[in-house]
Amino acid sequence: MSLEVTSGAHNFAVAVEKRLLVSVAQLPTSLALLIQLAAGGDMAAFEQLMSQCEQRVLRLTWRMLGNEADARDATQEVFLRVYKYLGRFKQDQQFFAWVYRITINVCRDISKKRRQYSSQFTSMETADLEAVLKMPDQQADAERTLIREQERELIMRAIAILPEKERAAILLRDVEGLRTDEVARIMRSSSTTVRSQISSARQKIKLYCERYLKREERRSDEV
Amino acid sequence: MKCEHVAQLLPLHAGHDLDEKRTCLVAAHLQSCTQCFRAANEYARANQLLQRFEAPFFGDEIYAGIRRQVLSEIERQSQTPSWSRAVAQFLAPLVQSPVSWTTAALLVAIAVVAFYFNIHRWTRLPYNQQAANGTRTAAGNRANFQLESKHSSATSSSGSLAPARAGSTGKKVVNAGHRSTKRKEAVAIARHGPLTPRTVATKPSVLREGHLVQSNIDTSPSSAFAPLRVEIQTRDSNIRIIWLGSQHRIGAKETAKGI
Repeated sequence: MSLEVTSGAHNFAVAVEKRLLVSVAQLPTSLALLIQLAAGGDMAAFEQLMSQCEQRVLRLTWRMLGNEADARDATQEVFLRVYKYLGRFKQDQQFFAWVYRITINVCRDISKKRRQYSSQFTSMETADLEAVLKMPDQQADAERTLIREQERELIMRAIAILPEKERAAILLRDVEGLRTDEVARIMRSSSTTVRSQISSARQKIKLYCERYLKREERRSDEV
Repeated sequence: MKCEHVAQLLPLHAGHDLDEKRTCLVAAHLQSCTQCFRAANEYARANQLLQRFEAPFFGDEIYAGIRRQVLSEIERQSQTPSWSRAVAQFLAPLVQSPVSWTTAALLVAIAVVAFYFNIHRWTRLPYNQQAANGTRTAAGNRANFQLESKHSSATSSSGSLAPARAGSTGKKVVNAGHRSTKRKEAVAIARHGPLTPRTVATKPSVLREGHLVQSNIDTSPSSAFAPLRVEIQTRDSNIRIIWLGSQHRIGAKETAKGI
C-alpha cells in the first residue's frame, strides 16, 4: 500500500528526469505509443501529446467561449482531464475525437460557470476592432483586414446566440470540418439529431446575418 | 416539391448534408424557383462566412505557457495527497508493524460479526410473520406456544383434565413443529383440557422485539368438533390474521386470512 502511495510521486520524478535527459527529437512520434507512454506516467510523452493537439483544442475553446482568457483556462482544464482519464482511453477510439469530446464538456462547464459570455465576447471584439482601426494607413491590406474582422465579429455574434449543443455541432461540422457521424460520436448523439441541430443553427445564423446586414445598411443610409 | 419542403432542406443542402436523391430534388426546384434560389444563396454565403471563421493567431509562448501550467498543476496534484492516499498512509504503519496479522484478523472478525448481525436483523421480520401465520418454523412454534401458555393459565380455573387425544389435537392446532416444544405444549394442554369450552382474550403480547400482537383464542362451547379460532391482531390495525383449525381433524381447515 505504501508502495502505491509513493509510486505516483516516484513516477513523476523519473519522468521529469527523463524529460531533462531525453530531447524531444528522440521521443517516439507515433501517437498510439505516445498515448501509451503518457498513460503510464511519462510526462515527456504527455507533453508531446499536448503539443500535437493544443492548437486544435485552443482554437475550438476560443470559438466556443469567445475570448482568449477563457479559452486558455479551458485548454488547461482539457489537458488536465486528458491526463487524468488517459488510462480509460481505448486504443480503438479516435484520440482527437475523444479530446474534442472533453473539450466540448469543459467548454460547457465553463460557460455554465460564467454566464456573461455575450458581454465578454462583445467587449473583446470591440477591443479587437479598435486595434484594427488603430493600424497604420500605409498597410495595404488594412481595409481587407477590417472587413475580415467585421465578418468574424458577425459570425461570432451569430454563434454566441446559439444554444450550446447547436453551437458545438455547427463548429465541429462547419468550422472544424468533421463529418456528421463523427460529430454525432463526439457529442454522443445520433446523426439525425446532429443534422437537425446543424440545420437549426444554420437557419439562425442566416437570419442573424440578414438582420445585421439590413440594420447596417439602414444605418449607413441614415448617415 | 413545394417551397415549404425545400425551405426546410435548404440549410442541409448548403452544407452538402443531404442524400443524393434529395439533393437532386432540391437542385431541380432551385432551377425553377427564384425565391428559393435566393434563399439558397444566402445560406451558402452564411456557410462560407462560417468556414472562414478563423480563430486569432496564438503564438508559441501561449502554447508553451499552457503546457507549463498544465505540467506544474499535475506535479502539484501528484504531491498533494488525495483522501484515498491519506487513508493509505494512515493504514500503512499498521500493515507494516509486527501486529499486522492481529490487526487484520481483528478487522475481519469485526466485519464478520457486523455482517452476521446485519443479516440476523433483516431475517427477524419474516420469522414473526411466519409465526403469526402458523407456519412450521422454530420462531412460529415459540410464538404459538407463548399464546397457548397464556390460554392455559387463563383456563386453569376450570380444573378439568383433558384426554390425551384432545391434548394432541390441541397441540397440532397450535401448530407444533419442533419436537422439544411439542412435548411442552402437549403437557400444558393435557393438564388443562382443550375440549373445555373456552374463550380467551389475551393482553397484547410481544412475540418479537417491537411487534405487538393482540391474540384471541376462541373455541366452540358446544361441540368438540367445532373449529378452534385464533385471531391475531398485528401492529398494523388493518391486518388481522384469523386462523381456523379443526380439533377433530388435525389442521384440516387451516386458513389464514388478512383483512
